Amino acid sequence: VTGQTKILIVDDELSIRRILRLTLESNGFAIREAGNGKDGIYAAASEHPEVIVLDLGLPDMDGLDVLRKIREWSTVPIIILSVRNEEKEKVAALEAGADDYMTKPFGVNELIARLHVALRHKRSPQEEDQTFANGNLSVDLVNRIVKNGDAAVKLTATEYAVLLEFVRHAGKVLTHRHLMKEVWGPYREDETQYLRVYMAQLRKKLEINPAQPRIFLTESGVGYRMALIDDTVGI
Amino acid sequence: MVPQSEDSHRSPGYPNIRQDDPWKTNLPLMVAVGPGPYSEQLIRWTRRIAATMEAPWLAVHVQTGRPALLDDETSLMKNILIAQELGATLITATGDDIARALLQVARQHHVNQIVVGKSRANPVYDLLHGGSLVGRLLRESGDIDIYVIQGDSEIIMSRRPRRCGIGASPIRHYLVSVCAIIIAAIGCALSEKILDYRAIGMCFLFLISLLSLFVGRGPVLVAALFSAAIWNFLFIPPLFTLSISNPTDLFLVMLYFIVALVAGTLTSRIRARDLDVRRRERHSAVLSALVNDLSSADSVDAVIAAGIANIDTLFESKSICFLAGADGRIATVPHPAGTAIPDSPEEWRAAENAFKNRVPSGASEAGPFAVKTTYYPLLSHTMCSGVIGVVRTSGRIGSPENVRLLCMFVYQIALALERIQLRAERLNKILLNSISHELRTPLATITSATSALVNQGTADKPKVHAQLIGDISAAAIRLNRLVDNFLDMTRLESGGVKISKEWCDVADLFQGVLHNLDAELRDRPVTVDIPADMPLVKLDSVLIEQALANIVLNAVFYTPEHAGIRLRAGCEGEVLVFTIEDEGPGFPPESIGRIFDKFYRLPGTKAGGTGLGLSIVKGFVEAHGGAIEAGNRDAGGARFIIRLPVTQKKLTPEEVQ
Repeated sequence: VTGQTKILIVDDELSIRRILRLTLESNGFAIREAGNGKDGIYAAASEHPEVIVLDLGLPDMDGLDVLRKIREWSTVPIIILSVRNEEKEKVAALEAGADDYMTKPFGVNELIARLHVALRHKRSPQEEDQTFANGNLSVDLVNRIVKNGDAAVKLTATEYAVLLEFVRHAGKVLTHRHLMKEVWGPYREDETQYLRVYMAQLRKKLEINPAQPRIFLTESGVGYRMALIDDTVGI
Repeated sequence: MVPQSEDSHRSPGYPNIRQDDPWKTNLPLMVAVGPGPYSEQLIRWTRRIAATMEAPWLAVHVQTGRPALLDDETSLMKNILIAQELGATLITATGDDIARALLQVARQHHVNQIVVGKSRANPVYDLLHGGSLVGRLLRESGDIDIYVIQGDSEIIMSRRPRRCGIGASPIRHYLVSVCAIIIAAIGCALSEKILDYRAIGMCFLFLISLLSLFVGRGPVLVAALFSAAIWNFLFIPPLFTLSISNPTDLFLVMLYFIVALVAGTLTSRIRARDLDVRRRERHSAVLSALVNDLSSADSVDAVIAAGIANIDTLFESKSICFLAGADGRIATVPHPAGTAIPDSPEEWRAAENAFKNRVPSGASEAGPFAVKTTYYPLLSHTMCSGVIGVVRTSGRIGSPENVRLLCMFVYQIALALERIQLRAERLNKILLNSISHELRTPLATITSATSALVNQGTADKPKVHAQLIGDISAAAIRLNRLVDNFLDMTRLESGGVKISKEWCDVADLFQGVLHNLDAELRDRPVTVDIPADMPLVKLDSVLIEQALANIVLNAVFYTPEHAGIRLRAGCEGEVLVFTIEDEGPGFPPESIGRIFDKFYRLPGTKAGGTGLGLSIVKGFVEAHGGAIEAGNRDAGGARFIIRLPVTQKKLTPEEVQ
């Protein structure tokens, strides 16, 4: 699917790098490796990777600083892969510009799925899209028509705005603050109770079973993610 | 020192000590403890013999209710502490008659051998109590053997109280007695016209009896003498002389004197005993209050704080505490719960002296320390956990009974500290055992499975490979969960759990739980039940989600593969209620009280859990100000109910618009 997509892995753990190289290469990716933050930043500039997988606990500098350094001049998708599993850390990394966050120990299949999501966003700017489909959900972005299965669903303007944000970042974790800022504007970032209400509404209207949602998933303490349901995601 | 048998003193009919087999075994020994320095040798001697016999031993102190000197009190306390330190069970008995009290204790505790010191002859005591202590013990002991040890001219039993110092009646009492007699004499002189001098004698007698209710024996004696003289001088003819002409009158005066003396002495003794009983009641009341406080304290700091608070309140004093460190020395800085601050390095040296030599040290001692604090070692059966110092100048710790009470307080605090120390050690041991066992089990799976993978025999069997890889993966997941559990537990115990509340949709919460446990819940019917009008609630979603996940995981672990799990949420006023039910076998009734205990596992369960999951749940819920209870459903299966106080908010989309 992807051809020889170049991926940069920044991790000081040799065994992790080797496992990633073995599996990702057999899945058709080209791998570059860096064992510390400085090498990582250098490789990010010189190798032009299409995705960066970044560890936070590096021997020479904090992974968050590496992330910020790279973000100064690049929009390349960055997936954080770290043993730090506190929600605060996740939010900090996502707000510093990370595209996704995975905690170690991790499953390789999950990582490959996240790599594909990151690449999809990089390659297909949403502005040109006509329609978006994911599982039972479809959105006509030009005519603003939302369907749950075959039935058209009427959404309020705000509900549609929230949905649109998920569609733009389908598969990615969106922090509460990010969603608040994009939909309600910069001054109400912390009033996340509104967001909860809208998420419940969206689930009620767009999920097959709102009590056990498949599309709008909660990342507890971090935010929400629109899950990509296999084989149906497409434009 | 060699035990001297006193066979010759024994009454006939009592079994003699057999010289070839001097010690009866199995039953406890008893040693009488007194204030003298010789008592210490006696205690050590008994300890050695008890150790040889592998028998338990009691140290008994008899309180006679007679006042004692401060020095005696201190050295008595020291001897008692020594006995305790050497492993004796300490018993304090009360009674005027030391021999009888000792024998009573001995019979109650099935003691068959009593060790006493050979006391210095004291004819008055012997006459009053029907023979010397040793003699009486020998005569009245029945089948109990008495061992009399030769001492250095020291009485080990309670000495005859000296009529001086703190034990004596205050001058005030003498003055009151004399004044009362003078006033009575004036009164009688005025009514001499109507009263016969014999009736006046009866008035004086009545007054003496009355006085003895309020003053001690000394003042009563003085009053008796003085009134007899006045009666004789002023009222018995010939008047204004001390001579008595009538033999009947002489007889009357002598009789008067004896009756006054006896009545006065008896009453004052009853009074003394009454005071003693009251004092004892007071002591046991304050002691039980202290023990109550100490037993609810569950950390070293809490015990020290409770102990110092009790001491300070009772004695109106200020206290300093130095705890022993791991290096076997006391800390150089006082414990922060202390209410006084040591003002010179001398204080620490006195404290260290008390700690090292296991004796009270400081202000009251003749020791070399220029301090106003007295330090008492916190000495229990197995250890000395530090010292507590009480600043003497500030409070009312002067009287020997208060010193004794203080020593009891210090002892109780030491026991409480010991209890906590032992519990911590036991928990640490369980923790280490549990950690090493739980970590090694999955590691063993991984090691053996990987070695099986590279084994030649399995080389061309992909099914075996798939199986082994599955095992490795399961073991790794288990290891990861263990680490999470240990980290959570550490966070809880070190107070590292910070609650950060935010508005939260309960449906979100349940969804997060179920999503994270997707793999574990694969084949299970899970029902989620949230009322339609459920408001938003303000809580720490991460913490509560994890608590709920632990309970669900627990259900997965303890119920058959296809048993259903039900999650419910609801509001009862300001309280959010979660109910988690399963369709498994439920809890054995006797286990319900213990399932939240650390490392508790239901008997007969499969390996794999840590015994930590539910105690973490309890910790999280309580950190959040809530409560959790567990029980069985009527229809079978376990039920957990979590109650959290929360702020609620109902928001409709229209309002948000």
